[in-house]
Amino acid sequence: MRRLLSATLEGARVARAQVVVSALIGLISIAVVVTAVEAAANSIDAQSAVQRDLEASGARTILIRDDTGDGSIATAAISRIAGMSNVEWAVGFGKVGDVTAFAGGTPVAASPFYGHSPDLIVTAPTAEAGLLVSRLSSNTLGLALPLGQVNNQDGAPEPVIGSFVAMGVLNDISTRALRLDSTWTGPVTFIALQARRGVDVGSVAEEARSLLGAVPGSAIRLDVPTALNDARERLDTTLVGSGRAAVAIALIAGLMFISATIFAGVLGRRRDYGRRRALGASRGQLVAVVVAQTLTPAIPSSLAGCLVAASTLGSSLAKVEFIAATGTLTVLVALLASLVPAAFVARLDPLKSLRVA
Amino acid sequence: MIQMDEVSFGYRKDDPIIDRISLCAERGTMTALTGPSGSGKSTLLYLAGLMVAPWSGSIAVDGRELTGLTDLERSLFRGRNIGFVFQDGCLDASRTVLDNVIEGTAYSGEARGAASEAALLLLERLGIDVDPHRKPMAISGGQAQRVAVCRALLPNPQIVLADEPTGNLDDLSAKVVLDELQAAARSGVVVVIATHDGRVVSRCDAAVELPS
Repeated sequence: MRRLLSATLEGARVARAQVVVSALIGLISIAVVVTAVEAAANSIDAQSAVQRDLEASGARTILIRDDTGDGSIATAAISRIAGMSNVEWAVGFGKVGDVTAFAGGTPVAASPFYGHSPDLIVTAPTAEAGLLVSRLSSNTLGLALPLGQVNNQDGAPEPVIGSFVAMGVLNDISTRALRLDSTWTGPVTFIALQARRGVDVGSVAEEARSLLGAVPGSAIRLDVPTALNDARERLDTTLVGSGRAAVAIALIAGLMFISATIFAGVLGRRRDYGRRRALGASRGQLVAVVVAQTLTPAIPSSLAGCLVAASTLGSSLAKVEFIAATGTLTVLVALLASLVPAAFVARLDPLKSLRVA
Repeated sequence: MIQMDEVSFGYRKDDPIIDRISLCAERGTMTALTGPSGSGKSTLLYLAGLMVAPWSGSIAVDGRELTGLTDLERSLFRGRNIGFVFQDGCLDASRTVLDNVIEGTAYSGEARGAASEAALLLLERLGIDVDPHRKPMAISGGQAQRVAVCRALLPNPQIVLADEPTGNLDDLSAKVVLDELQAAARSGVVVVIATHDGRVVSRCDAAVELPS
């Protein structure tokens, strides 16, 4: 063991003495870490961007429609659905009726609503019943401010008590006015709900349907974005696969370059290995010399590569753990790369090596 | 004493370069191996140094049979008991003179500090006037060969095997190197020299001529 350790330290001294070979191994190690991390970071960033885009397009949103109201769905169903562990939020809307701000004014559809969504921000100074208008519906009605009074289709007045902003998957209701009414219990004709995970949309939709309490036989329609989620799954798989392939290519290229560099160094110094055998080195000790000669520049260079990669990534989502893992992998690659030339050295005929001019 | 009996060896199957050669070299003597180029002088020397195992025959040192040793056992024996001197010194140009002299300690596992001190004393005792911290490129061929002799003698070997140690040296440098090898022999070391240099043969106690 002491002899092996001693030969390993000799390998480190050889690495310090053979500056060109060590510098090449160091540069390759840095390049491998930086390239692999960059490739993975690009893949992670692309994956994240795709997820964001799909999210915005409603990949997790399930829409339930009972256009005729025959299902007699109560607002309590929305509470039940929102209470599901795999549902982020649920909001429901009732039948639509027109309202106008003045005689001959442009009508705007208004409907009662129930529930909460981060995509629906309500600003109502009072908890009393009344209408909420969006910027768009307010303009359509001809209201300068979200205040005043409108008339419903029966001619009855309704106060305008506040405003709302709808975005994301609820953006379409920006054209409407919403009726805030804590006494409203249904019927609900339209429900939008968001599953916590895209992969769950199918099962969430089925469970939500069972919680509707709709009249049997009514024409309930569910819009489930399964195709969108399938596409996301495929994209994720493709991006992860291409990211891994890029990392693997960087590591394999590093392995080949490091191995070739060490091999070239060994071939040019065959006589040194013959001399080492004459001085009492065993085959195992020669392997230790070559491995240590490779790892001596590879370890600090991989660490330097990690620092360079971390400093150049900026806002990328690639984590520190991943960078450290890539650095460790690069050291392992260098170790693997050294084994072929080390085995070559161990098998050299010492007599022939000593005769190399 | 090194005793080789009926030793055969070759690089190609059924084509022995050494064919049933015997050699006996006593402690305290310097023996020359002579013969024409290609006769196997160097090969016999490296066989004696246990660098390779012979096809047949036996090799013994001080009565201990060494032919059946494993590669690891041969390496251990070589590191502790045998010193080699090569034709042109065979120093590592990327290391200092001192590093070259103590290189064997890397494989014997001995402490470098103690070996460095011993090496400096040996360089001084042999009168090798070179800066031990310089690279071999900065010293002459004669000095390099003397450094190689110093490296061979550092572990206090029982045997010193020299392969054409004066091949590239002028008369004065050759004389100095031979003086050092002869001094080692006189101190009880078995010295065997493969050579075709008449200056060497004339200084040796015995000569063995290999057939062509």
